[in-house]
Amino acid sequence: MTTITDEFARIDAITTDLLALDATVEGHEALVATQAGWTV
Amino acid sequence: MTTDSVDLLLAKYDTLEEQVVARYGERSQARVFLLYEQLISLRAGHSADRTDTRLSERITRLRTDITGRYLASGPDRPLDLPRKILSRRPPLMEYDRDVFDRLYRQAGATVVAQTVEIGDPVSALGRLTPKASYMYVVDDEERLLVWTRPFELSELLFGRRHARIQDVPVAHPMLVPQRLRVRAAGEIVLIGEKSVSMVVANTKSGHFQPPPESADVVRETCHRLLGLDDADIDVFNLFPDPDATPR
Repeated sequence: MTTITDEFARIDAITTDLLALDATVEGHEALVATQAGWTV
Repeated sequence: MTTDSVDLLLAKYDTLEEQVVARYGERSQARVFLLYEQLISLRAGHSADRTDTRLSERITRLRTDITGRYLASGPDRPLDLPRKILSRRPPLMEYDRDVFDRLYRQAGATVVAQTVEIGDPVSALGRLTPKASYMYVVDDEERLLVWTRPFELSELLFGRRHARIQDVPVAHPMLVPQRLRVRAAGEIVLIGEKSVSMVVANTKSGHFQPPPESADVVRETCHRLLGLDDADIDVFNLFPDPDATPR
């Protein structure tokens, strides 16, 4: 059963992932980009 | 979810979105990603309890918002890539055999061995994790094929080029190595507890660049295989109409 705890945990996981990605130059550029990473 | 917890969850997403916009920009991929993740999260909550109108209203708003942002973040004209559109209605795309053999063939067998065909809403969740993003195709025989390795944020934002098998970046044509033909391709998220009750998907495949009609293929496939209604299926199109004038 999906619980509210699951969904709050998901926000925390998203925040953690964003911060980790932002810590690299390449990651920051991907986050601020206005075009999707569809080029593969 | 309780009334208070829904309020709190929505407020927390609003706060995080404000922070993301302030740091990365109004039109940033970080914001698009966050909205997409919020939709998955709220659909999971809504799937468990469909009575809360705040969830359903927010989901409706997110669908509209993400639809526009996806189209705005795709290329403004068809890219010059080695695939042909054999048909628009119904859509059918074919990847170039020579390019596939040169770039992807060596890792193709491994990817095929890790790919499953989704045939019903119950067994699907025995093979795939709910709320995780996977690469999928609907092939020329209208089978829904999914690579069973879920993607992480960095792979989703970087266009999956970081996901590699035998040092080969995994790409949609590797799911259909025999004929290299698909009707739709992109990323898919299944939502539900014991059975799939909702789907969030997109047509994000740079190799096939699915036309807008591919979104209809995904909906029809979800009707047929998973028994879902349109209200429980989100499909976001990334690529412009191949025949349209560039933006």
